[in-house]
Amino acid sequence: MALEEKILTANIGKKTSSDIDSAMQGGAYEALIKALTKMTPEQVLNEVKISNLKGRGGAGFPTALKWSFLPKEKKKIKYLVCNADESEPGTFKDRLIIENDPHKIIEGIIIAAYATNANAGFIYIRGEMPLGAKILEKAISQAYERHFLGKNIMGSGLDFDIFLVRGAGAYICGEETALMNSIEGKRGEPRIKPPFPASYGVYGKPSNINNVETYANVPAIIKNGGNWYANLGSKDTPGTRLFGLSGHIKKPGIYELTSDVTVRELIFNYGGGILGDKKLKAVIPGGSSVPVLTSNEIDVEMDSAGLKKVGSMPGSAGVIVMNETVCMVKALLNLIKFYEHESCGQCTPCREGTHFLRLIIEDIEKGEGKEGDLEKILSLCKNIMGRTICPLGDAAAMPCESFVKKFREEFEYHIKEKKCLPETIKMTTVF
Amino acid sequence: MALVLIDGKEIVVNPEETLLQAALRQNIYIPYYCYHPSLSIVGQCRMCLVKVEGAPKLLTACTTYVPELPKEKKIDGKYDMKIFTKSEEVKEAQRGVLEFLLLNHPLDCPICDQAGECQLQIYSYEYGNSRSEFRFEKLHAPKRVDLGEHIVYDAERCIKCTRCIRFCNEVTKSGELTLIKRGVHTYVDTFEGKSLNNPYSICTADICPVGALTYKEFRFKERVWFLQATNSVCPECSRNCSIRVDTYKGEIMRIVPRFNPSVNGYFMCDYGRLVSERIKNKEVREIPSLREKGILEPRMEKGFYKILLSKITRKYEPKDVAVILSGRMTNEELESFKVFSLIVFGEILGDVLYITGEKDDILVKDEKRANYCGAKFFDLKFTKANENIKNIIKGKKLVISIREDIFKGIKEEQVKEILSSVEIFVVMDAFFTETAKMSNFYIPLASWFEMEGTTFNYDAHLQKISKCVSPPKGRKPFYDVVSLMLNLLTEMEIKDFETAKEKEIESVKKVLDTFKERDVMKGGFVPWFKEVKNAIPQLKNISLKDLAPLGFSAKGKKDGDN
Amino acid sequence: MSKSVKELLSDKEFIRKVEKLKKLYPEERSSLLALLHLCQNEISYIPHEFQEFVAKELNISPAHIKGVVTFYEMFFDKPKGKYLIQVCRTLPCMLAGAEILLEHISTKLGIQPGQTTPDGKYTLVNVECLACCDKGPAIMINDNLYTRVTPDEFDNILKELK
Repeated sequence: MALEEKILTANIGKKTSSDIDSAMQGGAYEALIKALTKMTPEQVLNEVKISNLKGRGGAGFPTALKWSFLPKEKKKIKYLVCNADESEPGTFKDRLIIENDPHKIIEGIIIAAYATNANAGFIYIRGEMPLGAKILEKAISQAYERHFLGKNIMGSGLDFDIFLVRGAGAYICGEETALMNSIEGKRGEPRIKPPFPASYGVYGKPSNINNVETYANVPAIIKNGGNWYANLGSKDTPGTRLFGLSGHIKKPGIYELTSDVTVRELIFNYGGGILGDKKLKAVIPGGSSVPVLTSNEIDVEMDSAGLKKVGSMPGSAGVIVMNETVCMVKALLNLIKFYEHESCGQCTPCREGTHFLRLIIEDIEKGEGKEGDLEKILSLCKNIMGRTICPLGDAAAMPCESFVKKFREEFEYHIKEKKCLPETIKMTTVF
Repeated sequence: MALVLIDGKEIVVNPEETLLQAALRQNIYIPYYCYHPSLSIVGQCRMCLVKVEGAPKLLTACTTYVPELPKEKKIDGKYDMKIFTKSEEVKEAQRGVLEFLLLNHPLDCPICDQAGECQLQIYSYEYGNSRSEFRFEKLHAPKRVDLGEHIVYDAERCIKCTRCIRFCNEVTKSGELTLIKRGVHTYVDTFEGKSLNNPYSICTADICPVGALTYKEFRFKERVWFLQATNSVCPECSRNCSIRVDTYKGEIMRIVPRFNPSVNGYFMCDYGRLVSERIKNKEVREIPSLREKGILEPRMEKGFYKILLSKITRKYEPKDVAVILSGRMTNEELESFKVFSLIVFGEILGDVLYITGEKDDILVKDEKRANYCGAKFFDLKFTKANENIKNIIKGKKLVISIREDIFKGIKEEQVKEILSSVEIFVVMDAFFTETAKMSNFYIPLASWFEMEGTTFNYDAHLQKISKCVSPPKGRKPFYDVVSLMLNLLTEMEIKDFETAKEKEIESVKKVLDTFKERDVMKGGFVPWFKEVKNAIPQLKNISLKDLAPLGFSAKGKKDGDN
Repeated sequence: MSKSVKELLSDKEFIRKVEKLKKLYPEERSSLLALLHLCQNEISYIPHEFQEFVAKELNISPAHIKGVVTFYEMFFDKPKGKYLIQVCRTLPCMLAGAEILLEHISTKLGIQPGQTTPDGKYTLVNVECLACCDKGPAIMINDNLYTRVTPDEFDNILKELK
């Protein structure tokens, strides 16, 4: 059974949680003070390593390992980047932290700076979050006032600044190198890798980038120790995660739980079951880019190992629930339109492939599908996956492939009968 | 240095080069669109995907470097990487990329200027699907967009390889182009009121792998497969860019830069390239002409030259003669001029008109004629242009102007004043210029594109120019004119012209007669230099060593010839 | 009525803001998005004159600026309505009823997504996921987020907009 440890959401719900005084009453910056006064940078890095904290942005890369890729030389300019460009459909957890507990993020970044000897940090917040940007801006300036930022922080010798950059509407900027290009005032086009950000990041300088939720976990790890964290919940993905429930669910929202929670528990125990008391049809467990699950595949834990068993992954932990009234062709068309719209257009398979997929899926949805279309979709997915500069190609292909494979009969019905399954003609909505 | 086994063949990959570069260097072809050797690497088109043994995904050869493995980790005890470029997986990826690229492509090959040299056509033939289904309406995008004075853009044909954008950012650093919008709606555009007008803009059409960028001067002119290609050299400045001249039925249809690493790399300037357009509008006269009763009348060749020679051979003191020479003259023409001058005037005269102008730090040189270096090599006197024309001519009785339009833009009254002391004014040029129209004797010459020869660039790099189109019978290279005149001189009896000179004439005639067959580039520089020295007494004391400051080497430079 | 770009560029207060933003980041070019936001906040879109101005300020080619402006969904290079109504269309909001909401808004305002009402008051656009999937359908009107927007709820919101 999953734990309901409040690491990330402890302060959330309090009235003025974004204000530094209120945050400090809740324990903000205690971990930073501990790190700066009682620990060496190596010890900080080691605690994070022991904690086995995995990146919360979607890829799940071990955080300490990522930090250790930065060059060790003190003199070299290094940057930390916080990815607050939350835009993966079904994902709304970072917004919660940003708007309610910004100091947790800032504290996490400063601790990471201490561990990696970084000179400055960037928080890249998506343009559609003007409120979050205002809150972060205020929080940063409060952190300067209290001398948690600036020169010689708390007398530790650490100099560190944080810059806030607002995006302007581009999902692709959530990709780390596209985000760095955007910080540099360029089109948000991903860079070819290698070189990786750890050697060539913002302004060509070594950079480390983590998601909002990843940084927000750091203070608790430093406060309570890596071992404490490593033993929370799932072995594979320890600690709590902010699971976002949306779609056809009775109690949508964010649930802070350890990753050993199963998809079923999440939906039925925490989410209160399916909207309209209908049957569950499908679940996308980790943001729109991961392969979809059928209602038979939900008795797995929400960590990498569990979801791997059913061919999916935890991604950004945004769980989209669909009941039996959802036409899977229509749902997939909605998603592929998203990827087509968000493709930066740089590389051929993604630029043309997402468009091609949309055309075929749209035809099927309109009742103009042709025999062989499903094979075509699968072969297009094959020609996109692994063939693009950045993961957006994969992110577009994975849902297409899994929808067609797992709901093939429904797609075939659509092609043959040129219409929706009877039960999906009127979809459940919240009103 | 890494050793790579690619489709069973061994190649060497240097640390600073990518797999694609190394493969191309060693004659193994991997298809690509966005890569260009003189531009930054972007890995966008995904055409060069290859299978690297041990890698989970296909990798783009254009972005893959090959680190050397420690001995114990070498593959088969020997290799640092094993690559397959023809496996089924790779072929499928190539077919996939082509299918994607053709999805929104208009397939208007029948009316596309790029047809025949389009990489989309070529790769579709070699790597594409023989069968494809396109039931969807193609996306429409801007067509026939004037990006600048020369370049026209078709966004529907564009494959978004961004070569043109990178060219403007990295080579000309003028940054006129950008991709706008995103995803499948992306296309190339300029900023309002800031069109693509850099001096190298047409190079973007050269490097465009498809028919998206074409230039107005060549649009709809001729199907490329009918064109006949001849390698030559651009005459418009002392850079001497290596070029390929494409002709059709004796007319120059276009000039394109030819890769030459030691001269111009991959590019050339628009001004040089469009010389073909400028010469088309120039007036020509194909028959030697003589002024009688104020009118320049065409004459039969032999009679014309006999009259000319009888009036100029040893008739004037060298101090009364001015000869204006041009940096447009090839080495062979300059060489034959010295022979001509020695025999006809008794000494070597001549002022090379030195014309300079704007330069840039890419290719364009300030010296506006191709072969000033050759003129230096032949030890000719230089005179700075224009303001000194008057001084050169002042008080002279005989003036000869070769391949320079010295009176261009000068009013007729002024010209008459400048020529007031002149009894005979001879003009030799490929065009019937304003200057030619003032002459007493006009000799039509073959133009730069109508003759063989060699030229030295500013860096003493020797290249061959070729007869790309045949001149009409009456227009000859200057050395042929000299040869003809020397032949006539041996027949003629000219007062005060010592018969002893005949011997000399005979010997130099031989040299001149060989010009047509001789190939300096093939025979090498040294034998040619010796031949020239023997023919021209004044050069006898010059050794190859003396030429070192000019950049000559004993071997001569030969790259870029092909 | 908002200012013309000419007035904007001769407004000392505005230029002071520009100068401040230019110095905000380790490298000047990082201020580009912020400067574009600033202009759009003031006059609702980013005209070519401003793009050229920023190009000069940051020593970047105007074409680059145009590439950036057209890349990001939130930037408009043409005037838009006083109120930009952004309706999230992505899956979680669609499951919540975004399509019904969009149709309602479209009928109510008499415009299709991408269009502006003739009086210049409203511009309607479809946008992708706004990261409030648990409270769909979500819309943003200018900088304000509205969640759980039913058609009736939208009518109430509309009444508040002047």
